[in-house]
Amino acid sequence: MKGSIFIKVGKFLMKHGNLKICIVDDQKTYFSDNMIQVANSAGFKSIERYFIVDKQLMKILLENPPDIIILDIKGIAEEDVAKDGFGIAKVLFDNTNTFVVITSAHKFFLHETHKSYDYMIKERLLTAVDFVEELALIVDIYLRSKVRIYKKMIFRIGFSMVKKAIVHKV
Amino acid sequence: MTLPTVCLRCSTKSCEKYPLGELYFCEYDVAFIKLDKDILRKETLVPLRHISENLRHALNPVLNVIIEELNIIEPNLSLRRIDLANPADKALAATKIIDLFIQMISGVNEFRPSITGVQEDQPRKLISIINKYYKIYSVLKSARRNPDLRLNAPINENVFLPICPDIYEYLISILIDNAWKYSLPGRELRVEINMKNDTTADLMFMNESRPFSSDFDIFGKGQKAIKNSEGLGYGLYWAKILIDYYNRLMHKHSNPLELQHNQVLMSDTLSKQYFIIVNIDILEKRTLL
Repeated sequence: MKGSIFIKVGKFLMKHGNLKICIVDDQKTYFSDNMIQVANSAGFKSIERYFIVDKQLMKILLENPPDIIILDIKGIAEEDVAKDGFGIAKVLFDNTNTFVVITSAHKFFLHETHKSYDYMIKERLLTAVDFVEELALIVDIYLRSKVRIYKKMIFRIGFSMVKKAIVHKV
Repeated sequence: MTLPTVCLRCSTKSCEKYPLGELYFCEYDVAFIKLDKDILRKETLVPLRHISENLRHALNPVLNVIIEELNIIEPNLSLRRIDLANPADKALAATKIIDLFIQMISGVNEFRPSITGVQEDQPRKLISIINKYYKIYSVLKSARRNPDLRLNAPINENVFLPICPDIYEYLISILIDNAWKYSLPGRELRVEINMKNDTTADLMFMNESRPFSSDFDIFGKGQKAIKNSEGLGYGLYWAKILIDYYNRLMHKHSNPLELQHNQVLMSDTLSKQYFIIVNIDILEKRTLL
């Protein structure tokens, strides 16, 4: 019970810590509604889900960048925005402080000439639980590598209380 | 002219109705020349890489639909912790096998590795990976597969794979799948780790099978050790590609990662097969006293 209250407090702090996560993937079965719901209940309350990046969304992403963005490679970019997810990743990587994550079902076949992302999701098949564990790992790396120590303090404290309950040693 | 005599198995055979000696294309875009006694044909070139590329693009969303539906049946489903007592987990394991198969087929036909180097990743526990793939491949049942392979892997819980664990995971999955395919009934798969220093080790897989010819190229593309086996002969070839890729990613010029094989004949009908992944990068987490 003590652990449960501890985790509830952690989730409460995460909710008010204002860490914004954005996911763009044209396949609706990847990062499905169910997966987002499970992530919400694990404490990641602010997840926005998009399927295509058009000019309007690109403008929003640049003017008000999320803390973390997860991008698929193929099929997510309108022609007048970028060639593919790599193109969008490069713009965000070069012009914002967003932690850029790319994901592809084809990790061994990615055409990339230079690295314009912070992390790649290598697992091709994710259940909802697997997704939340992967998300916790991404958030952990983001907080350690891309955020100054005094930033996102409320979220950090909440996340540190919840993390052990989410991530299983594999 | 040396056109090969291969063709689509069409039902129209329209090429047979054309005049002799001139080059034509049939309705299936097969080029042909009719000669006195034969028809020389050449199919439109459809590279294997295009076929495998289409295969992986088409099948991945399907696999994800299966996982999404399984997740509704069993909300706590995880590919990282498979429980074979649960039917949904078994279906998930089968889905993973399809995924690995697609990666292998496309890998041997169209591998285009990333050049952007190694990224931070969560170290994965070696024994968990071994147990996971032992379980995953146990779901396949066939008269040609081992029905009761035992796993004997005395490996400490504190041994982790810290670098590119996904590549190691794939190598281990190939060797475990082979053990299920080729081991004789009632035998065991033994997995041992031999520490070379704090960060490097050799990982040995030993299973017992029927012997095969000593001049057989076990790592050759499309080579099958046993004619009627379930294998396609791509697994170990794909493993070699992954090892080359790992060495390039890690800039391993000395003490590179290697996959070695050795067969020890025990009798006319029994041999021990040793596969050793040499120079794996490991992390031994020591418990604080």
